[in-house]
Amino acid sequence: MSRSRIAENPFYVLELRPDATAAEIERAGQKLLAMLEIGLEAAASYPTPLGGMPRDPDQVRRAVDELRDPERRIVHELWATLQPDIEATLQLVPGAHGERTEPDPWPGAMAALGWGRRR
Amino acid sequence: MIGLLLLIVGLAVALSIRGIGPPRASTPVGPGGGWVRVTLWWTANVLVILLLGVMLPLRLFTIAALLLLPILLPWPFTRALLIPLGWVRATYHAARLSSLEWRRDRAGGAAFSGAWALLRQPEPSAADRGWLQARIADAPALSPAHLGALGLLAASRGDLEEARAFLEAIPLFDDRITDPLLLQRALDWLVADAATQGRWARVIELTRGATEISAEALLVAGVAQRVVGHPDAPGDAQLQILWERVPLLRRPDRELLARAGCNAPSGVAEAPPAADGGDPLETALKLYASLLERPSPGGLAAAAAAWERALDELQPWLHARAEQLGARRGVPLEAIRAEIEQSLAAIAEAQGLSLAELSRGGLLSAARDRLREDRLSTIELAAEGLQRRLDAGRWLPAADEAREWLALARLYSEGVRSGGDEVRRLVFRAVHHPLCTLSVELFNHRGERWLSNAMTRWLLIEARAAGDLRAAELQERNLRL
Amino acid sequence: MQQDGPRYLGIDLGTTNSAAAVFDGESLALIRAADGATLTPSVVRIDRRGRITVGSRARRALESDPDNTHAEFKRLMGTQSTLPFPAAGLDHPPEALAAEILKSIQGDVEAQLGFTPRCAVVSVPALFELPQSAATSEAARLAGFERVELIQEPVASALAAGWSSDEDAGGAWLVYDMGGGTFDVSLLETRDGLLRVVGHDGDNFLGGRDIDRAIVDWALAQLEREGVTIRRDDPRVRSILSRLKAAAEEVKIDLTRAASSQLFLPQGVELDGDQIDVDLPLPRSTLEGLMAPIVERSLGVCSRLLTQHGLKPEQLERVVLVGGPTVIPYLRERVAEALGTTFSDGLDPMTLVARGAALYAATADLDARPGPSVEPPSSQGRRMWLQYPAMSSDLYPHVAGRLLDGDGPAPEEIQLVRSDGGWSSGWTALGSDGGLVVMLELLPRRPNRFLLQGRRRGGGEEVSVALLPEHFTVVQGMTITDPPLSRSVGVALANDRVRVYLERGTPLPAKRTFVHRTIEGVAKGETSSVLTIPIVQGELDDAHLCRLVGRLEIGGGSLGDSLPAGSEIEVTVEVDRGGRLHAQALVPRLQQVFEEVAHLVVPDAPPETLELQLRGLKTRLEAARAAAMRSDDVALSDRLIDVEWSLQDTNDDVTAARGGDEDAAQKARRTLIEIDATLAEIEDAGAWPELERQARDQLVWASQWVSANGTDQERRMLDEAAASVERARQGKRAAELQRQLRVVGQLGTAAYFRDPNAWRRSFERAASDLHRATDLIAAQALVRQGREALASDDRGRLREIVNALWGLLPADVKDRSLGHGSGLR
Repeated sequence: MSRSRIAENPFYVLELRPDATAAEIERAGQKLLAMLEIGLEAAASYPTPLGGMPRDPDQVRRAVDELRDPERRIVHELWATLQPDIEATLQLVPGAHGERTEPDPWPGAMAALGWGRRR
Repeated sequence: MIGLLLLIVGLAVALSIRGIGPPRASTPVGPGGGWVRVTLWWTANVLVILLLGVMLPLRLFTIAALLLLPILLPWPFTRALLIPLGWVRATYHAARLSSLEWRRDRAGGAAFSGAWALLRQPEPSAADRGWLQARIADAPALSPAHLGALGLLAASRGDLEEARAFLEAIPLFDDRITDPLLLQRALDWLVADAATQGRWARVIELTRGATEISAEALLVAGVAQRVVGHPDAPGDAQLQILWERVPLLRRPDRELLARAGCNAPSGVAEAPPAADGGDPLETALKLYASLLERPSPGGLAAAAAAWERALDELQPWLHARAEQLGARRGVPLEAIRAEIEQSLAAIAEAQGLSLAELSRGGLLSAARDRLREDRLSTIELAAEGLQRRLDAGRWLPAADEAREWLALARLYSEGVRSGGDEVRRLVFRAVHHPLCTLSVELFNHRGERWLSNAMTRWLLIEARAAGDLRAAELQERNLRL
Repeated sequence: MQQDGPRYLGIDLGTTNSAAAVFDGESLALIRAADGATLTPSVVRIDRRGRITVGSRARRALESDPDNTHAEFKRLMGTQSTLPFPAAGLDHPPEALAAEILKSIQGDVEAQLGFTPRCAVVSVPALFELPQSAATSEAARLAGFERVELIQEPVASALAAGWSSDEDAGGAWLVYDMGGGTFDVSLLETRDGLLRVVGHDGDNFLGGRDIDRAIVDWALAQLEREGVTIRRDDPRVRSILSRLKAAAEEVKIDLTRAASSQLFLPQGVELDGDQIDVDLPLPRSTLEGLMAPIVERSLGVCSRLLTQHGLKPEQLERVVLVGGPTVIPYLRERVAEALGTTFSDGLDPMTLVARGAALYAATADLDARPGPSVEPPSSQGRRMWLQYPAMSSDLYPHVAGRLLDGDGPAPEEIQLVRSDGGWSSGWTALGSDGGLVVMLELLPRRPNRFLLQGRRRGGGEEVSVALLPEHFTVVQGMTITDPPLSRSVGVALANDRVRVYLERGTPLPAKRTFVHRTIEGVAKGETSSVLTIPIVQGELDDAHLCRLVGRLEIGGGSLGDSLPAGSEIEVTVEVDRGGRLHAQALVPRLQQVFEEVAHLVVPDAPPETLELQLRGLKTRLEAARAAAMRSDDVALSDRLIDVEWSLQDTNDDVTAARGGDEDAAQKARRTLIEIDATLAEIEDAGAWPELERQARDQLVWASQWVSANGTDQERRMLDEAAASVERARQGKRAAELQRQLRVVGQLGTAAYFRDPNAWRRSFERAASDLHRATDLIAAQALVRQGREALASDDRGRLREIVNALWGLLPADVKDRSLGHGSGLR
């Protein structure tokens, strides 16, 4: 729910910014649906502040419909404020690009302690 | 002479085979009874070896001893050879002869060992799993070792959640039916599981206060303390000793010690990211998006605070946009606020954050209320569902009843972990009645005394913790039965 | 009309009449039946030899042979009822009859255009539920259509109205569609030639038929005054009623022109052996009086819709009237008065829907001609796979294309040229995957033909490459992209709430997945243990008030392993353009997928059940009224009066249902659900003060006993609980308040029973309830023993006896009513 507000935001799905006109929205939807129908690579994914997401026709149809409704569009505008760029998103998080923040897992534990075949 | 030898061997085999018969639930294999048999068994063994040594030349003696090894020392043979080979059925039968290690519950111990062997197969075989399941289903009453075996079987299917639930429940069972070896091995698996995922704090929690603990588990616990930077963490020499104390065959690689070497935990408690002075909405969204990517309690608090600021300034913008776009109904700020609350609550939920950690006031307090309501109603619904099933007289096989109990207990303890004693008091009342009904039914009509007993013990512990004196009194009485 | 090129067929499958239209990209033409009429009455007759008659000829038999002739079966679409044809000994479901109508229209199309249509768009009422839409698709399939799409009637009407209007009238449109049996009102918005449904509302059981019925009722009242009593719930008078109805329809049509007319049955009627003449004068003013409540009800729906969208009637750009009854002058006057607008004139309200459906067929690219579309055999070249809108409201739509594998040289660059030469895309290079995306430029309001040209570099020169197709056409005009879902679809949860998957208005096809957790375990191999996932449709929050349209079941028999309570289940719900529902449940821990959906039809409404519900609602109404009186709430009382009126109306429907009127039964079923929802809302509003009062009493009682007999810990816990009660009370959180009250109650009870006399008091109370015991003799024996224990002051014994007594007394059954028996949360 919360994540999808950004990850599946209609503006990101359609690769538009919140100031897009109604005609631009319809046009982007029609274009992407046509591209997806014939399987063009360029339409297969879209960038968001949470990284690239795969795109499917269902999402595009829903995105266009969501933005046709002015009330719902306003809420989507709010959630699409950030540029669809994950680097820019993570600049605030210390160490986000370095090592992981949780302690090391020990993937071999089961085997090492006799609960699985040793590799 | 040879006749005497055969007599003694025959006697020993007969003794151990007698034990293969299903243990009768009405006559618990008490520690006393177990010891008598074990003593007899070993006396016979020593006599046989002595006789053989007297009778046979050295070479023949060696061959005979090797041939007799599986019968004379069934458990070491099983543990060192059959389990690593993954021979499920052979393990099962050999473990049934292990009257010392599995003296309290041999049938269960055999099933547990069989399940362990199954885990050692490169691709756990479905046929073997089915065979073991049939053995477990044949048992007249579900014992802790059977439950443990079911847990390992679940693990062999990849269902770790269930494996954890089952193995964690083993210490709740009565001592009279629980072999120390079972407690050790169950703990070992749980430790290995937590370490696999890098949940080192959980390793420490599991091993702290455990009465039966293996050298391996102690070693991993030591490593865990080093990894998280625990104040009582062992030094390098101590760790080395812990490592040495693990029997050679079972000793893990030195790689484990290397892990403990980096004693500075890589996950430093992150400071909440500093908010920049830019547009409050943009800041809030950035913090929120980073929270989704890298969740942490600090990040949650920072995102909540940033949203609070952003929402304060949102109203004029909403009005202006509604005007421009011709949104006649307008967009209520409350709806947006509610959604953000809900999503923050969902993040807290996914992170297993305790309700107490969510600060008072503002967005997070609303998130806390929402989360709390959600958790409580989930537990209540589950308890009611169970009660409805019991009222309707729809009973399940013992293993499934155990699963139901542990599933409800898990919801319960998740709720308690996040909400503390206040929540415990509320939900204990919801779960007490159905679980008590279930436990009594299992005892009275199903002959599942061990399972019933474990449930009663759980209820008693929780009743005391919840301060429900009447329930505690009732469970104490039930436990004495 | 053009000779070649696509033909788009639209069919209005109406309750009383059906119509069809065909669109060729430029103009619309109506399909005429053999007798030249544009309307085919939706009537089917099967005679004793099994011969099927459809349309106007069947309609004539409606009076002479009512038993073997059926009309208005559309209202029963998606229900379990079948229609009997006793002469032929046949029983047909409504969709089979609808298929006969569609076949007849197919025949007319063939006579007019020379080919059997294979695709079509069929219209359905805006408020059709999924089973009803699915039944319509099924009818088209039975009739032999290969592909069919559905469009909602108001959308079709607006599309047709928009197509015929000269100027681009942007803004809000209202479509007032009074059909034979249903009333729909839709609010649409046009912007840049794109039509969007903003919202709709309606009454599935309001229409021209109700006017006929009002006339029949009036006639019955008149006859009664003459001493002839005909009761609607008497099955023997069915043929008299149907003849009266036919006469009522005629007199209604007469009165659209004349000021006065007669309701006249030529042969009179025979009742209990008496011959009765029926010839009743009906002036227009009387008819208007009869119609007024019906028209007002429809206007009420309109203003409800406008209010919901924050609009005033004067903000409407245009009102489109659709349906037979909208030709009645009185209705037009009243609608004009109430909505304050003039109507789009020059539109035939009877065929507007069919025209719109044909226009939509073009948008959906459903060419009715038999395939495969013929390419000139001479042409050779590399195939391109092109995607472009057959119809576009946008002047600048995109075409996407990809080069397919094949023989012959591949082009490197492609150019699109509009056939009038006014526009060209310029040479555009193909992408690495052979892909091409080009923005076209259209001329408004006409078909635009584009030529496809390809070229490649060969030996330093440009060589042109032949491509297939050589050209394609895009029509510019008003469009609507996807048909919206008429009612929200969701999954009912165990706490009687609904998790909405697809909101109403979601463009179809649509698909959504959510994760749930089970609340009850399912044991492997136990066939009796089943987890139910109910799929419901409706706009109400309470699951039991929504319609159950499908059910997904996870049975123990098919499970790979036992599934404990609290397991995750991923449920996906999907609705296609034809209103067909698909659902699947994935159990991640078992990696098992369940997709056997039990599709449900609109449930039967047996009169006995309806009466039971009706009585239940009356009792609740009384209780609510008493509560409203106490609280002296005027607004509440007003709402209750509305409820009372609806209940009275429903009473009449239930009476008719008892006489075998399946239609009235369905109407009653639906109205009862609505009344239930309204009452529940009113009751909820009243429940809170009651709960607060209870909280106060309970706290006083508990603190009295806890302070007297409680331990320190209990006192501390009660203080905490009291604080929590206060917080819950301030936050108006009912569930939390009840939960805390249980704790308070428990603490109070524990302290109470520490009182030396508590068990004595409890014993006395239990003993006084003795008559309710399940086993009276055992209970009496216990009471005797209790008296002895009391006499000897044996408290332990007394306590045991009281506990045993309680076991014999009926416990208050605590049962959370499940939302359709859902096993999810």
